[in-house]
Amino acid sequence: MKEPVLFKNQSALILESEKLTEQFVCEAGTRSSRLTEWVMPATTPATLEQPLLAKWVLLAKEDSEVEYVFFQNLPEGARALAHLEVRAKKNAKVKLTIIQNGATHNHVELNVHLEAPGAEVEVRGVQNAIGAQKHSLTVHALHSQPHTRSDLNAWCIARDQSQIIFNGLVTIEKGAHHTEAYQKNKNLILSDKATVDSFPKLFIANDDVKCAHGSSTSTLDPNQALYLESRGISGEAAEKMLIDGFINQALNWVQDQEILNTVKKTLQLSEEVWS
Amino acid sequence: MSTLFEIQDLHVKVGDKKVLNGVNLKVNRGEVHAIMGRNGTGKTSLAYTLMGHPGYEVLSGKILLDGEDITACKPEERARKRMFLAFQYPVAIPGVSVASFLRATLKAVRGTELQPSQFRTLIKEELKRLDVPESFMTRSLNDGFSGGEKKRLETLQLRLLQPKLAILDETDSGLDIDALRVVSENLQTYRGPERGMIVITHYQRMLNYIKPDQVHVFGDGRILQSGGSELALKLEEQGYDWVEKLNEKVN
Repeated sequence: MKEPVLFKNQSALILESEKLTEQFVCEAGTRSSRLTEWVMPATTPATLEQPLLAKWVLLAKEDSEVEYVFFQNLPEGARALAHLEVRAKKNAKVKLTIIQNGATHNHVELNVHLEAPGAEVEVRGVQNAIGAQKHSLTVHALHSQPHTRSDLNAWCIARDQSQIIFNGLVTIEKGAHHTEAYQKNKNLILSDKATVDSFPKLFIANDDVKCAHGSSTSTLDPNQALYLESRGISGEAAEKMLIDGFINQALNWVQDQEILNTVKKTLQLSEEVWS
Repeated sequence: MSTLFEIQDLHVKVGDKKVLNGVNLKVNRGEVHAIMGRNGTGKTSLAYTLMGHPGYEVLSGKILLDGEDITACKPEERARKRMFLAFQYPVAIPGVSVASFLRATLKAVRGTELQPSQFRTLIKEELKRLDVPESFMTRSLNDGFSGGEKKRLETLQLRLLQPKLAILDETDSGLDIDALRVVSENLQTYRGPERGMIVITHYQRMLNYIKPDQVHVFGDGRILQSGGSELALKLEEQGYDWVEKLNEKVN
């Protein structure tokens, strides 16, 4: 694989629109880092009847590297439907973070196509649902060529009466030898009335592949809370630290500090004090 | 010397199981007390109870710090009154950096927020003392730490928070010889005329550095025998059988 020759940092693109349509192309041999924050125009009332629509495509060409954060930051009362697509060409490396924050109904469908040998796509999804919000994330990774790798991870936080659904599917087509495909879903449930449904699935039509999938669901760990409280931190502050920590596990892989700081600030996560 | 900390006839249960059966202990200012005993005799239950672990229900008895009854206080209140427990098994908290945690706990216990530059200066000094690299600060709290790293971080917290009373629950476990020396020397230098320490340990080796004023043998959820520092040496040589037999005769 050739070394990337160009570093482009196009960060903090904020789109205010009911209909977001975006295609981002990472040219061959280049490296990019980018944030799309999807917010709603202040003049538009949020309604369930008129959905907010997003169609977003990322094309990572041969030997490119791209780090992308797709950040939905939508108001209560809105219904959002996002269709996301990643196409990774030969030796392309993609790191995609999807954050679902806000909207009463928030549905994201992501299709990842590893189209050529050497393509690698890693995805981290964060679903942060509060009140009576319903969030769903459906991810499908399609391996149609040999020597490709996908790693799909979703961190879901369900509070109050919220509902979250994670659907993960990896398809490895015939002939896609030496494929590596992983899926992991971690859920944090913060209320007796909140629910998370997790469906990690694999469809493998080929030998000679490495695959793993798993899902875990928990509440806040009382031992972790006790440790923080034993250091003078109030119960409420300890709970926030633990929830922030859960989200940080998903976000801290973002290498572009400007993008990472923007996202953390918007999500009101604790500020890092040592860099 | 005036009394700093006192436990009066403390009885405690966890679920249906009684774990402490009438513990009495008085720690004066400036004193270090060692508690030794076999596994499963209630030493860690005592440590958890003293820090206010919600799973440990006090049936009767009192815990007094500076004459104030803190038996019903929450863990965070005890910490703010300057009690500190160095955990035997500090829990990992992924996603929460050591630096963020230390800043939060310093603010909570000391009641004032240090300027970032003051915080960095203070932490760097302590890291140096404990022979810990600065990269520690950006790691997740206790996550993937070796036993030695965890105990160094517990010691660092103790030094930062400057408690009146420190309870060390097997801080020497999981340490190699060099780490034991570094940790113990730092604990020893923490001793002071206004402070007290309760050191729970299985071995004499830590007490070579932190010489205790009194040693207590714990068994069946209470103190069976108390003595000076020579008692620890006797236990190292002869084990616990003689204490338990002596206690059976008394009863």
